[in-house]
Amino acid sequence: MQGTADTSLYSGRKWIYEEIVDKVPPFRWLPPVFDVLAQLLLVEAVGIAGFLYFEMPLTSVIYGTLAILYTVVWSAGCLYVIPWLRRLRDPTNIEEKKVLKSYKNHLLLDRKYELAAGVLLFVGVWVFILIDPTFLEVHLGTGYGNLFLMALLAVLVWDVTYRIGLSIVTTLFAAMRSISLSRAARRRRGLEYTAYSEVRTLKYLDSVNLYWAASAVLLLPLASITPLLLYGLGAFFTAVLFLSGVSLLAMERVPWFPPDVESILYKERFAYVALCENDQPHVTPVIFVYDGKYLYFVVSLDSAKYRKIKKNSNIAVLVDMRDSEHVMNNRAVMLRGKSMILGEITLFGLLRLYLYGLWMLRVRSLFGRKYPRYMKYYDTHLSDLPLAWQNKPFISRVMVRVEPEKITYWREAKPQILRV
Amino acid sequence: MFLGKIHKAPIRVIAEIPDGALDILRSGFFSYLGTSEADCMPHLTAMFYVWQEQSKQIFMVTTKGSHKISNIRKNTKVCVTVDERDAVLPAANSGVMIRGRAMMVEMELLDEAITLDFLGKYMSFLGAGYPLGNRIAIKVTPKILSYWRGMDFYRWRNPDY
Repeated sequence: MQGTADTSLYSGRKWIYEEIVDKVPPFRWLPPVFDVLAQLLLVEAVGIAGFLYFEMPLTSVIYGTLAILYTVVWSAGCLYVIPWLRRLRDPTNIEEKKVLKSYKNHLLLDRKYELAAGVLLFVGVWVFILIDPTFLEVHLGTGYGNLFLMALLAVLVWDVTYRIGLSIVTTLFAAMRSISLSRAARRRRGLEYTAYSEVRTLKYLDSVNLYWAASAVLLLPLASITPLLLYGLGAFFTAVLFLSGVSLLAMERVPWFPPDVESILYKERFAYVALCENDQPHVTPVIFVYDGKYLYFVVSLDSAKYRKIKKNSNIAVLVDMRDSEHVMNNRAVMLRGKSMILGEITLFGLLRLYLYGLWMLRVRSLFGRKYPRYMKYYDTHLSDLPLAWQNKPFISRVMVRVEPEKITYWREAKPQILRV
Repeated sequence: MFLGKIHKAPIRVIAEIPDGALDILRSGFFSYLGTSEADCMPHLTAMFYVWQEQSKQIFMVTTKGSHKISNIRKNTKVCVTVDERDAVLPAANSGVMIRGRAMMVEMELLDEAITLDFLGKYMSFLGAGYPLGNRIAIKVTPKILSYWRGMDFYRWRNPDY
């Protein structure tokens, strides 16, 4: 059942003559990328033959080629999107799973929305052509009125308008999915979540919507023949940009980790950092903050931690909830991944400072809010402390950002590995 | 780095384990065991432990199939940290970090006194039904013991290692 659904998903993304040509050798034997290229050449050859036979002006061949090129560039994007979409893993949160499932169904199985958008645009453009046929008269040369040529033109117009309609529909679906996903994600309980790699994949797929919109730039010369078409194309660009922006903002609000893990990372005050040098692990306690994505702590430039991170950026950080009375209340999270030093005065350090400087200020204020007494201590005892301990960014202290790659969550000493 | 070497509190090398460190090792409830995987990827777990005064060794009990056991089988270098946290004053934080070698000991071969020590320390917490069946003990022999209290740092090197 799954297999048949997948094949239909795949063939669901084809142009009309692809569907026909797919049954005709030699196209049916070619891999998809060559398939698209071969069809480009075929349609282009038919176009050029018409151009020569009907003695059209040179501009018509340019416009025609651009329109064909648009459909091909667009189809190439499909070849990447569909396999990615199929590879998405399901969230453990049922609500989020429902959101993603309905998104996939809308996108891959339900064709009525895209057909509606395509037909609407097609009729619009065709009505416009019929109202003012001078453009066609000029560009089709002696071929104007030839039934075969008009049919070919209609197919080309349909191909272009269908794709534009589909672009709008997919972007709209993406925005709607992002909003419902982030809403569902904020209602998670316990260990429910969507693995962050999947959220990242969805974000990547959304950027394909922008690619599709950008490929419509090829239509600009054609649209510039009349202000109406140009405005239409402009409105299309604006709509896609706006919807993509909304989608991105909503996706940014999807938390990275399940609520049980997040509550430990937000509330607990101490973390243990394990580093490794020459196969010798090194474990030290630190104070830390968590900004919703990364974990930060501060090290002295003179510390063993700093030296070890410079040599090997692999890191494991354990944050635990201790309760020596009740075994049930003991929980811990271990994040394993890569560490990055921020705030060094080196070439790379300055580059990172430029990239993350504002965020570092925010992290610093998070420290101030989470550990007000520590910060006060560092301020009032400044002169008593050795320089290595003084809370002076860049001079004595740098920040370490931990990017988690694997999470292990323990509850009552039972480990559970979560994908990031 | 355009800055010169920054000065810090000196580490004092001492011949005996300081009393403060022993107090922490005796009274601590949780220890943090760091092991490392093949590509020098650290792994960290919170563990129950007992400190044995005579042999200057730490004993822990864990399940046989756990990740740390497979790490120790490949690389016996480990690090154990026990500390006292103070949420108000950074200068009141103190702790002990032991870097050394780990060895697995089957529960049946483990000194009975250590098993009793362990059960005595954690029995009220674990309950009477704590299964020792599929468990294995980890014995950590210190090579270097680091101890800190506020800004004071001490280091003890095990002469018997």
